[in-house]
Amino acid sequence: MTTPDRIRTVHSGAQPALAWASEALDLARQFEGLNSLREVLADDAMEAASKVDLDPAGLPLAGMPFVAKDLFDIRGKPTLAGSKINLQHAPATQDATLVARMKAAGAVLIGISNMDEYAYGFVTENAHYGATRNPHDPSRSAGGSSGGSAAAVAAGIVPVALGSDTNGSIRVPAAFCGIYGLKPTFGRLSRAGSYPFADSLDHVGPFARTLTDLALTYNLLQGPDPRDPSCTAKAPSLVAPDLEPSFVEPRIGILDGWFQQGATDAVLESIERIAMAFRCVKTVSLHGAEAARSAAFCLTGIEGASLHKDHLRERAHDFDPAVRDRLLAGLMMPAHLLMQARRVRQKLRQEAQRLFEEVDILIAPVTPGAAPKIGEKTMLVDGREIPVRANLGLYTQPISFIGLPVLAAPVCMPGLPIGIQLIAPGWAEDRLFQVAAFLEQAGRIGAKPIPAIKAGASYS
Amino acid sequence: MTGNGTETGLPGALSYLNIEIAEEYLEGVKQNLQLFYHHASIMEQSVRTDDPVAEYIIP
Repeated sequence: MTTPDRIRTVHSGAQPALAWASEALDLARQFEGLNSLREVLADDAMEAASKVDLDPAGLPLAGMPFVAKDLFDIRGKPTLAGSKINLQHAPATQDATLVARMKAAGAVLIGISNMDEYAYGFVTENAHYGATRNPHDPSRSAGGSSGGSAAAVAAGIVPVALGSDTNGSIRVPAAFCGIYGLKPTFGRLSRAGSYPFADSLDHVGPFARTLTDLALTYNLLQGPDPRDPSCTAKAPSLVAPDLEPSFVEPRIGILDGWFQQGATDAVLESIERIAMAFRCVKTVSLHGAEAARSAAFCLTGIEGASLHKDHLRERAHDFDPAVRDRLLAGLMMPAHLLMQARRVRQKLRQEAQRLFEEVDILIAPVTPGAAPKIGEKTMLVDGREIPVRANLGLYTQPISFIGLPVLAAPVCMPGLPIGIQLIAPGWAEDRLFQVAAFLEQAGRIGAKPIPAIKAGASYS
Repeated sequence: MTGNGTETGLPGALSYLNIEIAEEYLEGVKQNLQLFYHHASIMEQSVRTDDPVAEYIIP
């Protein structure tokens, strides 16, 4: 049954929200071995579902279970952001705006999902709360830093999850877990009540197994928010998950150069398959992408280190070592580099604007290859061994650096999941959904089937 | 702090920041510093210091 159909059964009373929450909680228990959730909110979920059942009419997401990444404020709980340090923080006094909007629409929060500490990583291998396993191959990473959210959706525990993306943290786990992820335009969705990482790069957004669920959720998450000055005052721009009658095939630009360098044969094949679906397609170059990736790398270290300076001074030993060492290094970067990074950002923005005069949508892979094994420290790119944790964002970082909206979509191919980035000009998320709907109809993209994981498996 | 920030300069920089960390952490910090400087070098080759600055993203 599709999510909209299931919501209708809650509206009609045929299947109460309580039953849906109960099923999701059962699945969360069965798939505990994936370690997708840091905390299951069973009592709160059942209470919330009961309230929905009292008056479900008018609630667009009535009874739909969801999970939120560990960096969103949940009223009554400290926001850990995957850390041990934040355990001493006071409980949040109100929900993050996105969580509040989900709940107001009738969705039921069933858990808090695992992540890399302070969102600084692409693998969700957390020294305090363990690694999240990939539902399609539990020996492999779910990607990060929103890996818990992606794994929960891919395993079918929930239809939708919330995550954040500073350098690729929605797109990378979506690709590795074979589901959809949306990183909207910078400023489109409110970040109020989400624990920051790098302020000029942080985005928030949803994951889902279907375009319909992604659109349904995204439409309800939009809207100005006085709690977040970086959130746009623009009115919501509603998207449609189905092809509109007015749809005209877009001009497609396949990004080459940096965006194909080091890609595996399977990734290159996935791009080829996607390109063949279009009539108007050409290869284009985003000049300066490599410099932009490096600038994003530096900017993240500098902004993140500034945020955590006091904790680095007082409690360095309580950090995840992989995160601590990078933040300490970031703290020692000269201010000059911050300015240079902003100059690179300006140049890349102009370059992207130039490209969007020639094409309507840009397409690139999400990652150079499929999910690495958990614990794998290095990967081979262009014959060079490079660190996994720092480099899974090779193709995602230049794009989020200039805030463009991206829909990460799973490519229909045998083998481990592989994802592509559909990239639009700022504020053109509607275009992304139309192109994705076209590709879905053409059988080129679609979520991997929910894997038949052995219930109760520990995967240890 | 020395130009590459990897040898004698590292304890000095940490001291300036009033951060005391265990000796065993230094190797990891050095490796990350080298990574940052590698990226800084790539970035700096693409811009001049009098190029315009983007204060905000505003896509």
